[in-house]
Amino acid sequence: MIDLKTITIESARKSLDNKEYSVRDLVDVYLDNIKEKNEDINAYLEVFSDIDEQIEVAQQVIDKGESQMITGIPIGIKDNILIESRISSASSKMLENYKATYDATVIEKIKIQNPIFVGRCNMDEFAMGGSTESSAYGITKNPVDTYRVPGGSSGGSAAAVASDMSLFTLGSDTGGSIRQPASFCGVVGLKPTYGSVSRNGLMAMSSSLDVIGPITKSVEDAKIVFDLIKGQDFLDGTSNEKEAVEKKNNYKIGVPRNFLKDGIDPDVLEAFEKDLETMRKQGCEVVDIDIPLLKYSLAVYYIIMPSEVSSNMSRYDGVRFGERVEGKNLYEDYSKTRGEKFGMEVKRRIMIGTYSLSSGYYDAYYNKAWKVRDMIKEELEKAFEDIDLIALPTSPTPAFKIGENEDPLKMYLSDIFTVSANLTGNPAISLPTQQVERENIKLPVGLQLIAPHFHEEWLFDIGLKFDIIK
Amino acid sequence: MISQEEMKKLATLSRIEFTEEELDSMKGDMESIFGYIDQLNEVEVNTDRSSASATERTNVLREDEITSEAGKYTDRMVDSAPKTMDGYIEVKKILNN
Repeated sequence: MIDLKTITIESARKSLDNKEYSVRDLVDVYLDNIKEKNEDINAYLEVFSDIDEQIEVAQQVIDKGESQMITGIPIGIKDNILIESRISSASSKMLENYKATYDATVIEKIKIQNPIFVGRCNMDEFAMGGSTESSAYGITKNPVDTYRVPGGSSGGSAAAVASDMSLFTLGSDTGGSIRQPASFCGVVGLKPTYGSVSRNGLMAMSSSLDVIGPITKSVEDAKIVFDLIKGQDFLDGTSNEKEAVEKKNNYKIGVPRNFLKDGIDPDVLEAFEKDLETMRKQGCEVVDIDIPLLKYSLAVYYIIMPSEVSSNMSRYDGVRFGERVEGKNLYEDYSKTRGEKFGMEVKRRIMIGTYSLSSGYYDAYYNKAWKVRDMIKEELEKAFEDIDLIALPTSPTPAFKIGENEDPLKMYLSDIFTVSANLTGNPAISLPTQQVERENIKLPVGLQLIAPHFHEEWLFDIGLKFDIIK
Repeated sequence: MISQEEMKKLATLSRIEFTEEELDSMKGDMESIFGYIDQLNEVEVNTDRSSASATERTNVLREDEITSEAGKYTDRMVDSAPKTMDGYIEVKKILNN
């Protein structure tokens, strides 16, 4: 009756409205999966205790004939997006018992449609990481190969969709944190245009880079969710909206060849070429382009992001919310609370940011990084005068093994293809188009497409040309 | 090279308590990361380009007026605090008398 291999938001909507199955029937399938797999996979830190009540309300709405697009659909939310009166811990000990005092704007938009909020999804602590290994509440395993990471920081969100523990989830992307786990787990992940989705109620990590976005099984679903959550918000001064753009009959795809020269797994490169061929066969023109400054994106990112982090994390001082560790005096309250309740990766990035912003270094690091950021943005804008979309692999490798990337710098290098879109604000999608084999297991690898600002429609349009691996 | 002194100063600025070993390990990590970041020295930047310029960035402002009901959220907010007293958030002594 309910085929998880082919289910989409639209097909579930039809079946629920036609009474082919009930909300209870639908949610139970997902709850069974959670029961079977979540203890091992740890995609959810918490499965909410009021699911039965939510199901009742959703079913009533459907019975009255008032259902909306996601009424009764089971969804997961990344642990850094606030849902009123529910715990949001950002997978940190700092916020172990913190109950949100308001709904994030994206949650408000979703709530009025009465989906089923199944639970909060595991993540790297405060969204800092590329593997979900830095969560203070245990790792999340990749459902495709449980010896491997699901990616990060939205690892729980991606794993939940990949293992059918929800039909879609919301994640956040600051340097690749939606796209990379989507690539590692074999699902669709969209980082919308910066500002197109309100950040009100998203715990700020790096405010000029953070974006909330959907993780889904299909491109159609990504579009549905994006359309639901997007929009200008008075409560987010960086939010904006633009009119929808027209689709094109054919797209011109640019490949920054020079950027693919080193540090990329040969199987991933081969898979990428296959995707380019698919696009050619569909009538797209695929050309090599050169964006010389792109290779400096990672260095720029690892100055700007920690700098903003060091500022944003200063609110976690044990005073107004979260946990407090008592010291001898006020200073020690701060330093012990933060020393004990933050994990090492969070502390590392705060220290890096503090260094970059400190007097004597501010000019050489922070100021310089912003200037280069603007130059990269200009280069990208220039490239888009000539081409429609930029294609890159999402990640230089498939999912790595748990514990494999212990060196922080090595972990950071895996963001190399994703950070640029955050620096420039461009929308980008990861499509689960290929697989590479490792030790007899087929690991997903994603194709990344980057579009001009507010051109998500083009990403969806191209996405539909691919046979998404299920 | 980041000195031990500098590491201690950064820890103080960050308001984070580290053990000697943690600080030492952090120093190594940071030197390695800034080693990578140093490649930005290769990029020549126009010196009269200000850091907040280039593209159209405008400030989004609103009127400086109170639009919410006084006290509406107070209980909820104070309840979030680790230590409270009589509806106030309790902290250690700030001023030295």
